[in-house]
Amino acid sequence: MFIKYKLLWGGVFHKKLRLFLSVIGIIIGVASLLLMNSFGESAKIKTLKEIETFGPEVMIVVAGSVRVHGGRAIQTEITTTLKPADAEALRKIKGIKYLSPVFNGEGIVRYLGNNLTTIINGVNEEYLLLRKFPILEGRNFLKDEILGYKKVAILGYKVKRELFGNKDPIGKIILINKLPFRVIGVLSPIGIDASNADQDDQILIPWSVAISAVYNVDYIRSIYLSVENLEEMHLIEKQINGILLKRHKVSEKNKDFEIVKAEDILQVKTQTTKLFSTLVKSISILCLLVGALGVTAIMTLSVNERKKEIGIRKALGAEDRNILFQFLAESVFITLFGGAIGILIGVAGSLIFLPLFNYPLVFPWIPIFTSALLTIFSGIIAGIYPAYKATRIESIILLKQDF
Amino acid sequence: MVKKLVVLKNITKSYKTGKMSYQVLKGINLEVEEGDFLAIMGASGSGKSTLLNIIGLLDKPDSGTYILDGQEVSKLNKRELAYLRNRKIGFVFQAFYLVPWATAVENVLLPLLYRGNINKEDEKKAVELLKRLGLEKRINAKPNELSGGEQQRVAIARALITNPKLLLADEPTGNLDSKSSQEVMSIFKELNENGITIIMVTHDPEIADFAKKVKIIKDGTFIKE
Repeated sequence: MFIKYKLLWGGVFHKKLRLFLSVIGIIIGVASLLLMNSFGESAKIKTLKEIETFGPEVMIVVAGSVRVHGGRAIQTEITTTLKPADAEALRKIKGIKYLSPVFNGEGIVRYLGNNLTTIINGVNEEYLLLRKFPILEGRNFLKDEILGYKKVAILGYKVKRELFGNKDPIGKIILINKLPFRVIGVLSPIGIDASNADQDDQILIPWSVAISAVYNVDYIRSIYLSVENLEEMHLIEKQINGILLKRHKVSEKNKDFEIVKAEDILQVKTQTTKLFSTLVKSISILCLLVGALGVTAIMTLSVNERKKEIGIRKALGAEDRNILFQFLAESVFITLFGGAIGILIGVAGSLIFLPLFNYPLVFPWIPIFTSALLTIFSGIIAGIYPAYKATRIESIILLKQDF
Repeated sequence: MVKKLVVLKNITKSYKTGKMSYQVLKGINLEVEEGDFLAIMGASGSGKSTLLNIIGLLDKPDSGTYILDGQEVSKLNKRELAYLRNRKIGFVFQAFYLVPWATAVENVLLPLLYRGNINKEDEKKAVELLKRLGLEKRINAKPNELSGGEQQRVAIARALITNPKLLLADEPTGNLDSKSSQEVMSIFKELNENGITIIMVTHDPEIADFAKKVKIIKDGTFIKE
């Protein structure tokens, strides 16, 4: 049995270096295709996970006009018209579970000679519940601390590590923009959320302190809120819109705020990834096709070199279809060989690069399957011409052409 | 009465080169009986290779009839010709034409690939044939590890594995030294004595002497003896 297959396909391995060179295009094509596919799969899962951390029941009222761009909500200009009183006014809406005014800015933080710059988020005691951020050590804000302008702070996990290392930070005094704050809690590691902000690299303080003592403004940047019942989402959005239009005395056309939902971010994000992955996939398929063309060239050369072998096979009883099948199979085999190497590289690449770029690790079963299928397909395409040429060779070339 | 294995009547064949048409075979008549050992001699350009191509079913005549083993074959299609080549004819060429990446025994088994499967018994038979031809130590050697004489003996074993009725040889000693030539020819003689019909093309009179009959071809026809 073995000899049969060796006699059919042994010729493939005759020239090993050439075999390798001819499949480089295939290797690159398949590897990149696989890599991009698994990145795409992973990105999908990542987005879904991020949206989950964001929460489908969460809405943000953002000051200014906002464009959701590449999954980020970008504030185009600083608007000062969103006031703490607006947040209070929204509390009257039925069906809101948690609500927190938010003022965020950069701040320089010091503790015993350790300096760092981080995001300062002014929030209230409901913010952590709303965002479902778990507390690792210490406690949440108290309502009185918010109302009473108390300088207390909850540290993001990274900030705590950098300022305190392994020491206990609770009760210690840190300086935020030169003002002393007492640390009352540390957040558990959260990671990057749907708005692409690293939630471990921040400090939470009462919003009242943030706008008065730290940044000295009379406005807030956004209002975070969550609803009791997901079905009321749109109804509540409408009500918020109505109240704020009225309070700000603006019309729908030139309104100075925007309401962003997890849904919106998800939509834009999937659209962007879709566009990106379609682009990369087309390039990879193009690369695979170029690789297939390489195999065609090499196989045509090989057929020319092996005219005598083809002639003798025919003299010994091979029919055209035997020769056709043999060389078609060789092309498929060569491409599959390249495809296998490409898949190995692609899988290894996925396993290395996915964690490196903070993507969830998924073993790319489906990409492997589609890559293999595409490889076989391009092998057949690559083999048609040389195999056809091989069948055109006749045994009379074996006898000297001296008539 | 002895059966006629090859009967050619009025075979003609011409080749076109550009606009010129050149008639290579001009009405060949030939009868070869079972058990014959015929040598066809002729100078370069006499048409002997073209004739061998036609007898070996590698090429078709323009006109005339060819009866091989009782069957009219000049009108058969490519598939039927391939089938008959595999079943009835063994070929030995001047340049051996072994598959370079396959071992001796694998080369011997090549014709059976086109009959379907190759089983253990076929492998045994191939090894047996190689032993009979004095190659018991070269069974797994590649062609480039073999001398010319050894390669030609592998090629003979390949021709014999299908038990052909007719063995066609084209200058079988053309690439060999005189010692190897003698060896190969004595193998041919022995095969012929065991009943295989042989048609051999050569330009070497010494080699032609091994045959029972000699015919000389010149300008596309046989010269009358």
